[in-house]
Amino acid sequence: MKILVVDDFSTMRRIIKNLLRDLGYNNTSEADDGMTALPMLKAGKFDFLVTDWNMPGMTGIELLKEVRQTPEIADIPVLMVTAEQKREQIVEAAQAGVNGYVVKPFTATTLKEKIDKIFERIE
Amino acid sequence: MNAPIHNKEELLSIARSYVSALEADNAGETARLLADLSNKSESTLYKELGKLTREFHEALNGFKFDDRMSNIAVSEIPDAKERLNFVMTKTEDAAHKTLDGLELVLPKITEIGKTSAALSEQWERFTQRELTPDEFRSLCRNIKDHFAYTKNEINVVQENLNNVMLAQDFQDITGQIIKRVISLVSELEESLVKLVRLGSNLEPDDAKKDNNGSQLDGPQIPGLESNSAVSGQDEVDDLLSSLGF
Repeated sequence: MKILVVDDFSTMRRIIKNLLRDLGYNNTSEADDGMTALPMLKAGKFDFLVTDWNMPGMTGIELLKEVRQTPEIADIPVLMVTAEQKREQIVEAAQAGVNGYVVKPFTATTLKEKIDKIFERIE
Repeated sequence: MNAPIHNKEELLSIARSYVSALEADNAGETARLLADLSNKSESTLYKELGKLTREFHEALNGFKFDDRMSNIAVSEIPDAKERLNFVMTKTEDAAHKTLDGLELVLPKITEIGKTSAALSEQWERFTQRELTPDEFRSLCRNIKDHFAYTKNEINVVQENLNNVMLAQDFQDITGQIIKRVISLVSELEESLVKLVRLGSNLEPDDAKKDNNGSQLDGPQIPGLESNSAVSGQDEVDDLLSSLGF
C-alpha cells in the first residue's frame, strides 16, 4: 500500500513516516504542501493520504476537497492529522469527506486505531 | 479645563438683546448683535481647537515618535522576524537530531532483545538437560559472542542517547530569543493602545478579541482556549460519532 504524507513541517512528516513504518507500512512518500501533493496524487497509485490542515500554499481541507472532486482519486481514504480542533473545523472536514481526524499531539496508539478503523471500513 | 472663553451668561444676554432687536424690527441692531454672537462663538471654537492641538502635540511627543518608534519599525521588527525564523530552524534541527538518534537506537534495542530471548530459550533447554554436547558447546560460544555483541551495541546506544539529550539544548536558546520577542511585542502593544486612545473615544478594553469562527486557531494553548474548540482526541471522536462517523 502506497501512502502519501503531507505536512509543511519536515519533523512531523518524519515522525508519521516512522510510525507508519512501525505499523508495517513501508511504502510512503512525502509532500510539504497541498500544492505539491495534488499532482503526486493525480500521477497516481496512492492508496491512502495522511495530511495536516495548516499549510501555506494549499491547506489540507482544500486538498481534501480537490481530491474528492477529482474522479480518478476521489475515493482515496484521507486521514487528517492536525492541531486544529475547533468544532467548526472538525465538522467541515467531516462534511468534506474526511475518513479520520487525529489531533496533535497524538500517540502511536491513536494513529494506529484510526488507520485500522479506516481500513476496516473499506474491507 | 472645558470652561468656554465666553460664559453662558454673556452669550445669553447678547442672544436676548438680539431677540428684542428682531422683535423691534431694528435691522441695524440685529445685524450688529448677530455679528457679535458669531464672532464670540468663532473665537471660542478657535481657542478650543488650539487647546486640543496643543494636547495632541504633547501626547505625540510623549510617544517619542522619532526615536523609539522608528527604531522599532526599521530594525527591531525585522530583527524579531529573523529571530523567530531562527527559533524555527533551531527547533527543527533539534527534532531531526533527536529522531536520528532514536531511529538508530530503537532497532538496536529490538535486536538485543531478540538475540537475548533466543539465547534464553537455549539456556532453558540446557537447564532441562535437553541439549546435546554439540549444542552445549554452541551455546557456550553464543553466550560469549552475546556478551561482546551487547557490550558493543550498548556503547553505541549510550552514545546516541547522550547526543539526543544534548540536542535538547536548543530550548534554552530558543527560550531566550522568544522572551525578547515577547518583550518587543509588549512594547508594541503599549504603543498601539496609546495610539488607539489618541485616535478615538473607544476604550481599547472595549475591543473584544474577535472570535471569528472561520479563522484557524492552530494548537490550543492552555489559558487561551477558544470556547469553540474541543479538548483532546476523545472529544474529537465524540463529535465525529455524533455526526455519524
